[in-house]
Amino acid sequence: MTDAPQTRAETILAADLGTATTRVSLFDVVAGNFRYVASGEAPTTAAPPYSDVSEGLRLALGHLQDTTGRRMLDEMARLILPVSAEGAGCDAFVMTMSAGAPIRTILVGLLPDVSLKSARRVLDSAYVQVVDTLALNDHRRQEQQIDAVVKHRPEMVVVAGGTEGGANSALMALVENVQVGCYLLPPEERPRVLFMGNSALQEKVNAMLNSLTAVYSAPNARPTLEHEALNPARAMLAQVVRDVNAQRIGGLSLLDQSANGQVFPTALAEGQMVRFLSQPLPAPQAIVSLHLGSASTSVAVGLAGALHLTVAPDLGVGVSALNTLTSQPHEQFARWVPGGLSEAEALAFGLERQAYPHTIPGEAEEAFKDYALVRSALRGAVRRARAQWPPALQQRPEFVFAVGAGAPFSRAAHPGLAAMFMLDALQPVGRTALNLDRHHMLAALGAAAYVNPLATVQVLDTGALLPLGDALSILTGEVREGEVVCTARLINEQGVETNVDVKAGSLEVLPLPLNASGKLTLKPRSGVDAGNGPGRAFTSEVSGGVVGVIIDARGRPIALPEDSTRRAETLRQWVWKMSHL
Amino acid sequence: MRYLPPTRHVNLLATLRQERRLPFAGDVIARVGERVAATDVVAQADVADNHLLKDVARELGLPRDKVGAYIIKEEGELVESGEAIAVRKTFLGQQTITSPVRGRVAIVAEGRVLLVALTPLQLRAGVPGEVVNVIDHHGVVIELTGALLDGTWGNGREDTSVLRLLTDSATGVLQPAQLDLALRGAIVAAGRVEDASLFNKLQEIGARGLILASATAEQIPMLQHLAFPVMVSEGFGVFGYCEPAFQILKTGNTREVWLNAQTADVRRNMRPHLVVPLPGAASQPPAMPLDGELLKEGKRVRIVRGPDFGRLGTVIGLSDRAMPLPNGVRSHVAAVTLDETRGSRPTVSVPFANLELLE
Repeated sequence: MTDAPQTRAETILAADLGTATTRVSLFDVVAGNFRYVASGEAPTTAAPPYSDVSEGLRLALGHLQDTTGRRMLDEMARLILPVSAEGAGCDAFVMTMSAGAPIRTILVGLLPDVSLKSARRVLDSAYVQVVDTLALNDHRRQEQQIDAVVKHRPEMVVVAGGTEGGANSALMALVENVQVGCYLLPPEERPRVLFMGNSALQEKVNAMLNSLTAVYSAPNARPTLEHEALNPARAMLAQVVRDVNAQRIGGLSLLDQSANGQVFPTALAEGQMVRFLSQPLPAPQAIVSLHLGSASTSVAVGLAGALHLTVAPDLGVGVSALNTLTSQPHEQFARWVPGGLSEAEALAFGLERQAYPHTIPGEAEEAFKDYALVRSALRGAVRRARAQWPPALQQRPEFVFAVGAGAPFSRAAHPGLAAMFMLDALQPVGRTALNLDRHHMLAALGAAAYVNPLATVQVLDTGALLPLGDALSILTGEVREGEVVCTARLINEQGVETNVDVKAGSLEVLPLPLNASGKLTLKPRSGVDAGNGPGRAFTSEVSGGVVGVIIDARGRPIALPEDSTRRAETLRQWVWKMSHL
Repeated sequence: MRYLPPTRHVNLLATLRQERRLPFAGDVIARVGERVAATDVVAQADVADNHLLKDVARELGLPRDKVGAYIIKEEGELVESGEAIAVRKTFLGQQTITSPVRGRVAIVAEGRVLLVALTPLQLRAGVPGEVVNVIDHHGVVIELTGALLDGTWGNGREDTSVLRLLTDSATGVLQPAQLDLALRGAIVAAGRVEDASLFNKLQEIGARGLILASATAEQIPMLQHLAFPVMVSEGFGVFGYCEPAFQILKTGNTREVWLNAQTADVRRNMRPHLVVPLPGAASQPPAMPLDGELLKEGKRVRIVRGPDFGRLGTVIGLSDRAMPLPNGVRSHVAAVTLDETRGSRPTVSVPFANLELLE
């Protein structure tokens, strides 16, 4: 990349390195405001024969150049930074990434329900795999704990523990085992260490480990028994992850330089946007983003400005497909495929997806297996995330705004399917505005906010996300499938009325296009809650979208018919209602 | 639209470079320019992840700061099992602390000795050829001429031996009557196996590897646990080898081959593979297999999803925009003329994503 100093960041290029795909998005000032301009994409080239992610980035920039006619690369195929006199290139370059295998990590802490729990919540914000844990209640002998460090050859060790002013000898004994393990490993294989424990121990930990490996410090993630402080630790974790990846992914350190160190885990960048969007909303109104990829899935929930972020680095629809399938009972996957699927067939499907993660279904019936895999990954990730949500949200997942991101959403055959995936995964209650992040805007804007926060706000205001429409979830209670549980009447701005009898177990879509609003009245029967209490009518302004207004009367949890023939019909019916496919 | 599909190597004769790497740092024995045989050791290391802590101070009953003089081994020294690591002579006799393992003294500190048991690990060349590169402390790259067959699934093991192809047809099923002691030490290839008990029988008679065109999903866990390398060439289900793959097996029959059934890792572009070393013309060595090529007209491809799974063909056209598929998904598609089957060569439309290049 050219080495020119950066000027005021008016043209921002955001890149996202995914496991399968590298994407670039361009933002620029148009008529006085920041706008999203265009995107380009290409396969990620981390693996041989390229072993250099900058090649994939160049291909993606080539695609962007073809789309916009704007030159982004100079004669030496380097990114033009800053914008040239001819208007080529960009002023700032930021990057997010989820590429690369999860970082093998050993977690060190004291108590499972205190420091280790907070440390895991920090680690959940990144693409990390905890391969072992050293803790106070560890029954292994000292040399066995040392063996664990040497055998696993972790790329990172995270040390948490000790509330401020608390006892420290127990933690230092564990750190000593890490020290010995690091000493025994060759220098180039020693893990980086992130310390996020009792600040009084910081100097001792540095003294023990500084001569052996890189030590990073963050403020105590659990300063008191009652209080967590996760964000500073998450930010420092992002830095460690960046440094580990720069060492193991070819070409990344050069891109890191061009981005002036503004390289973030994709999930964290998205999470920051979700947190920002949730700030003006009073609890219990929550915002959620689901990002589904080939290798991993992330769930970011913003609640009154607090972020609850969970990355499932082993649940995805491509590279992690087999693991996704085997992480749940077979029946939970098979029942979502019309006609069912034997365990052997499901295993074969998982093996094929894992071997050829980039493939897509062409036939309609074939696509149902992919839909079921999407649901499995999302449901698995939401289940893990849910355990960290505040109790009120766990009991009643009321999301006023939801976003779906990742190829399974953005490349779904119809946006109605993307809406259905979100509803299936979250099973929200109340009213939820469903949106599609077709161009990985949340991650790009989350990273761009560091160089120009104004850009982020203005781009969001001008439709960075594609509204699918409002979804109203009806709590049907114990009713027979097919019984009318509610009537729905939608009156649009032109006064046109649409009336539907909503049956238990159904999905209905009422027409209301993008940028349109209307008035929806739901009149539930006795015992059915349409949003205003059991049996009480509910009237609300609703917003349209590319799908329309969706009424989900499938029950919470969603109930599928036990009979396999009826179940197959129901699944096809739902897909047809949402997409006419 | 420029598209980079994955590449599968099914190459009858090429100049190949095989990387042989220790899992961690060790000593590389082979040198650049050296010719090696398949069974030559090219690198070695000690597996050192089993530690034992001897609390010498406690065992001798001495304060920790007084014990140093009695520890007779230094850090880095090798010890044999039963060898003394600390000796204290008193007027009552001699106290000796011995090492319970053959290993090395890792750390001596505060009256304690941390020992590590050493298990030697030798890395063999696997293929005959010339060492063209040394990877610092980790291994070598060996160049040879031969055939290369990439597979779809492997059980993570590797070995070198003679290949025995036990079928005349690409779809041939391995029969119980074919398993006899003559297969001891051989890498066996067949189309597929219907009787899963044959897997253990192969192990019992001492086979050293297995190559199948396809395996069912139920068979995969059994294949995973076999003690020898297993590679599934084409995929999961019931079908035979593609023609060029079967040609490679026929060429390799009764020759010494290298079966590297490494676990497939898409992130690192790693696939299990079979190498058949073959003599090449010294004057005109064959080209190296291509990698990282763009999808374009004239390329040979294999379809990896959909009703034509496994079929080979040639690209005759590429769409310049995304087209709707029967299920509504939009995708760029390639027109592929399939290889002749029963006298016909149909042309099918295949999403870019469902193709891999054959090189």
